[in-house]
Amino acid sequence: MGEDILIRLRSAVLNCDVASAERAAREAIKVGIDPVEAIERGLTPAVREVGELFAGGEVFLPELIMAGEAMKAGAAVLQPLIPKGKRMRHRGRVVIGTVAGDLHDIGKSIVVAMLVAEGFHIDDLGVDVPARSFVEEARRLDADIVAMSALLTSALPEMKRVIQLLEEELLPAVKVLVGGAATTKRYAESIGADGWGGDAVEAVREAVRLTEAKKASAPQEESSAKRRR
Amino acid sequence: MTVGGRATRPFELLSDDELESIHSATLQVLQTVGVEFHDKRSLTVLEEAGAEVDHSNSKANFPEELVKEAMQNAPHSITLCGRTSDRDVRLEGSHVFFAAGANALYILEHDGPRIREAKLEDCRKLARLADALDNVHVYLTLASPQDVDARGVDRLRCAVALQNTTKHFFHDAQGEAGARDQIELASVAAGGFDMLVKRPLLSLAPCITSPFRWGGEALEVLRTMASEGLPQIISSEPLSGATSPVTLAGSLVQQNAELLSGLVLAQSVRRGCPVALCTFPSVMDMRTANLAAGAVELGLMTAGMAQLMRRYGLPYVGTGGVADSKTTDEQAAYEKAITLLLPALAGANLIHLSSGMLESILTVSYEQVVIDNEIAGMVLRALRGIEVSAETLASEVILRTGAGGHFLKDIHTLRHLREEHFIPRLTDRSTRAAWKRSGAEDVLQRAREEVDRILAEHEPAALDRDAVAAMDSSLNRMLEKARRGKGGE
Repeated sequence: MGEDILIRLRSAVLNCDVASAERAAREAIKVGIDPVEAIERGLTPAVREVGELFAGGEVFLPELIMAGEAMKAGAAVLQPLIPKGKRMRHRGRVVIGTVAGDLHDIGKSIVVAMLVAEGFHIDDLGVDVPARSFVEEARRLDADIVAMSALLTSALPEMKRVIQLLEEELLPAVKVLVGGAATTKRYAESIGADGWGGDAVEAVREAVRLTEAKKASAPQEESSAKRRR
Repeated sequence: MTVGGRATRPFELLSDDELESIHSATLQVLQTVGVEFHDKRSLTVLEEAGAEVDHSNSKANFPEELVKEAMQNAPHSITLCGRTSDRDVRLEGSHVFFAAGANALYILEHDGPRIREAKLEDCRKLARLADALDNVHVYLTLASPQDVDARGVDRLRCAVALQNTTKHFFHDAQGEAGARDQIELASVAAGGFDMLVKRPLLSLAPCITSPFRWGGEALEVLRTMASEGLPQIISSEPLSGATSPVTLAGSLVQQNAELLSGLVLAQSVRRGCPVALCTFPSVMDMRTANLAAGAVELGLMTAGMAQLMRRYGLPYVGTGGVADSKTTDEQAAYEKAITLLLPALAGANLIHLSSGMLESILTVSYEQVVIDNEIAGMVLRALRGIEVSAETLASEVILRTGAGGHFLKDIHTLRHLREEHFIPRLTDRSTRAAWKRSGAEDVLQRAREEVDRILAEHEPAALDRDAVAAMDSSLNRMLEKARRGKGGE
């Protein structure tokens, strides 16, 4: 019975079917499946499978995004029932947004979809995000990564400002990832970012690299602390 | 006045009924969906003009009458002036010109597939290169320098262009301050602000963030240009499937609504102010999540939009000659040829991004700039079509030559050969033996020699020394101020 519902959760995500994901999630609760197990064995592996299919060119972007939506819908039903104090396994926590002065959403949203498919926990702050909001959210969620996007050249200085604020607020353990059409690798290095994504796929690869490096160097955060002069 | 091209019988992609459907769907969207304007002054202007404004969510909805009025008040023709009148370009009807640009971050290295960041020196050299090329009629900065501070870089690119080409300069700006500074720089080049208004050497391009959201900076630029009566190129650049509907017709409806929302604002700020409407309609590649600009759909959408804008009687700036290829290869060639020919045949008045761009406009290649000049030359020849007259039918010539003769020694051949046939500069048509003897070079190698030749020989007409000094000192003051602004140390 339980396995059957886990299969239904998985196939709802694979079929990009939001309504089925919600239904299967409610079923799971009804028959008493642990909500954490329903997410970790039902929804998450399915969305990662879609991510792999996308990387292989077999699934297209709208399908990847809709699979993510199906997963979110299922998780929204399950999450309120997770006992307090019990933490979900995930690859890392990412606070992400397009910096202040820039309203461009799509590149950032694609990165969000791919990070979800890669198993990250995402807090998407949207567009035109003030520097302080990035920092406050990073502190509140104990984020591993702050990710920033910009398409407008005129918005680039905002990225540097966020990095300076992270330093001032003594959050040196938070890794910074930047991307967007206005950025270059050298620019990312020049402002002290830890990673740069030239496109969405590269951004996700960088996020994985940064979280793995972070785990390897935990609990001491020497390299990051050194970066921030 | 620059001659350029003209689509004598423009390619009509859409039927009258289809155009009407797009038009009425557009009006519906403007009325019911509305557009966000993230700028209080713009909302106030629109409200006074008769738009339904909801200040709580920065949204304006447009009654049909308001849109029609703006379309009537906008000029049917605008002239983008060069430093001298022989470089002026008039956008109207089915006239076709080409513009370079825009703002690549990288330069493709001469000797292979590698790229490097664009430097300030590249901006100067690329402007000089474009200045020398016949089929680049309007200049847009080909590269944006990465070796300088991003703050105020628009002013820097502007000064570099004004000093290194005499062609009209079409550009973007960082908000009102960026627009005002560039107007000041262009005024120096033009011999004063009044002269600039008479002969506008500069146009700026405010761009909406699709779908349906005008950012504050773009609106500041739009209002500034409108209130000064200087030409502006209101732009919509959605990715079909991501920031506009996946269907091309739906994307056209959205582009049209976005452009007309900007037009209403411009005409409400100052009735009759010069505006051209511009689209860069790319598609989202659904396998890679990248912007695809060298897509055949871009050619189709610009061709459809050219037709719609001509029906409106509004000058239109399209996009073409773009490529997603990373290098100067066969892919770049076919992407460019197809995306340039479609809008040109449809009579798009100015086709921008048509010079040197690779990698979905992230990278520019010097060699590609001169190759694209050649493609543009072929397209201009295509636009002239086949002239049919007593002279070109050549009945008498055929009669006097008759069976078994040839036409090489006929005066008729001599009279027409130079304009009837396009004479390429870079294209190789020699025999294999002759080609081998001259080094068996491919077009890229020939293009490289042409770039070297132009950069060694061509000096654009210089601004007088006092103007350059005045511009440089203004520029220094502007850059200092911009760098003291937000995001400073």
